[in-house]
Amino acid sequence: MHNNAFFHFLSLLLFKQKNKHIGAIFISVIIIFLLSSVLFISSSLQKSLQSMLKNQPDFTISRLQAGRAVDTPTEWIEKIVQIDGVSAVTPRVYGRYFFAPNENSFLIVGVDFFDEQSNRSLQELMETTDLKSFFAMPSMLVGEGVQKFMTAHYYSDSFSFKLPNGSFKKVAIAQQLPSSTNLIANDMIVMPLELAKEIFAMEEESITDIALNVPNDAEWDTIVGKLHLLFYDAQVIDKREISKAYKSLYNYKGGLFLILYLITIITFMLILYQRYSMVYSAEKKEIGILRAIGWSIQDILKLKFYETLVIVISSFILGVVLAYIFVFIFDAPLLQEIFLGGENLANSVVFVPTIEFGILGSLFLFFALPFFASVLIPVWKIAVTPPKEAML
Amino acid sequence: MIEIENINKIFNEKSSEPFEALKDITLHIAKNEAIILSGVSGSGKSTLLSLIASLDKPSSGKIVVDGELISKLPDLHASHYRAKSIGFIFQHFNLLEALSVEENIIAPLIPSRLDMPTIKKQAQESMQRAGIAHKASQTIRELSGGEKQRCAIARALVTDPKLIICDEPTANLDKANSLKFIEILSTLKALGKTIIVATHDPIFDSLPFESRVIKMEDGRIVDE
Amino acid sequence: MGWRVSRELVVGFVFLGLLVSGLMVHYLLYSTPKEQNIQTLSRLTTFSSPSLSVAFYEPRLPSGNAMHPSYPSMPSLNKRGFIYAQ
Repeated sequence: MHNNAFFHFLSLLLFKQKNKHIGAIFISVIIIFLLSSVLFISSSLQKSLQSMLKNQPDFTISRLQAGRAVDTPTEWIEKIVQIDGVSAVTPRVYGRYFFAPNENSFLIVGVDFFDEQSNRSLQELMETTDLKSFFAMPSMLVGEGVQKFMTAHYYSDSFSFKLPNGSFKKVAIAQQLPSSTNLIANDMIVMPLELAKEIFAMEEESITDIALNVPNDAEWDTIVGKLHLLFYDAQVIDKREISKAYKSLYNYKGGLFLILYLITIITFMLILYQRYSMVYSAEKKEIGILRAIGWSIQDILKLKFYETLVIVISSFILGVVLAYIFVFIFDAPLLQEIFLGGENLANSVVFVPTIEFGILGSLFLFFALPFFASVLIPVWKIAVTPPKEAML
Repeated sequence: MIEIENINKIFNEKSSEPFEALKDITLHIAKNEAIILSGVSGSGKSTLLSLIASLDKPSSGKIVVDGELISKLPDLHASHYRAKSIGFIFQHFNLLEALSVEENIIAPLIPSRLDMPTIKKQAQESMQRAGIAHKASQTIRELSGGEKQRCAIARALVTDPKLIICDEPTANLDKANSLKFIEILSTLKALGKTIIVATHDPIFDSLPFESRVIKMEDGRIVDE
Repeated sequence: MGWRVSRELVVGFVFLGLLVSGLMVHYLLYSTPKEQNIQTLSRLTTFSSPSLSVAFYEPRLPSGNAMHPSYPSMPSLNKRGFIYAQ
């Protein structure tokens, strides 16, 4: 009952003094919006990359020569297959094709389409493509970035790859990969394995590397040891290392992000301090009057605490919701370009909704605590002043 | 009812220029008495009123109201005392500009443990008594000086206090409104309230009810 | 009087509640076909590496390729393509 009267008065003050709070709410919403957008983008990218990793081979093994990766002999496959605990040993062919020296490049990935699983995956991806014509002549699937690049360079239906021996190989563009795959496939070209080998002038008995699975994780270290024993010049990369690399890729705790957060919080506190000091004299009188008519310091602090809480919660929710809409419904138009950078082909990615509640909670604390401090400390200072002085 | 003994109030005590606003004030005020504190600006009238209302603390001495030592009360008790026992009418009204008349009047009752219907009922009674009920929903900015005064009176009366304190209540009023104010004071005296008014308005020289004039000068009582 | 103002506060919070609920509904029912495509492709190619522009972020300079005026055949000054070719 008592609280009913208190909240009634609280809502009176909030609504009748809207103008006092609008500025602070506006700034808070913008800051939360920016920070949440950055958070959503980075968590979404991380989540997408990590979730794709689940379908990836546990290990890849390639050959090193003088510390450089070179083509891997296919005979390694037979030896690897014989190791106990190893499964799904698959040859991979891929490489970067440079449109012109030091210019943009494409990642060419060769796939054995006659493999049952690959065939099924291809059909799932390319619902509208006529698979017969795809296999009838040299054809490829290109990522969105590649398609745009080729169109800009007047290659609409096909592209002639320049082979190392100086000849050209014309390959038809069967279809563009869905733009929802841009995260990994923006600069990718998928083509039959033999065609890829032809373009890179790889020898028949060579492949780029070998992918394999080890279903029992307890055996991973053992298998790595065995592989190194079998091939002294092998480089073995396991999924755990890739996962670590992805984790640091848009790590919100590191480098750029930390600086961004710190600058934002400091700016925010400065703005709030300035904002609330502007209304200081009006606030002082209001508190003095309430004190004079019988409000205790406790009552004043309670009022201002709840007033600030309403503002903090509303600003936070609005900021987060706007950020969510900006990132996951509109795919973060300008911000995306800052994240994705300009290296190689310009990319635009569809962000999969990801909310990390723990981090949002920390963001709330980082935002709420300075806000409360910048409001309640001056209020307390005024409240402890004798009311007569405060009303002057 | 009010015992004031050897009250001193020094402002800026620790600075190089301390100012003695009140010097050794001793005063006894009986229940239902009307006291007029007269004197020029700076004589210490407002300071004395603030100390009685527990809006400030004396540098030395004591003030006892109805057996309670109010000059040394901790904040929570002092606030409670102000809310329950004092109705203060300020010179500049000191109303919350953004709120309406009714909203200003309910403000003193908010920290109490009353529910909203009771609070509204008390506010309505108070507004009727002060003659401002017809302006209940208007904001303070829309009121004239006299109306603001009546709003301040209604706010002072809403908690049904024993003691009504007025600091230069007619300073911002015309003669007609000043006379209306005195009428209201007369009613309050008849209701058994103790009234203390600090003023240098000559209109208080001839009041329609019994009163005691205390003249102050330079922080001291010079004539009673 | 009072109830109308308190109602504004309630309406405000209901509005915020609706926003949050809408967000949660979108989050929980997000259409998976978009996600499925990328999963299918990564299964097909056995590749899940982010494309170059995602993996190595460099700010896009509005001036584009900064070519060295005296040595046009030299690599662009503002790109690090020679590293990424590895």
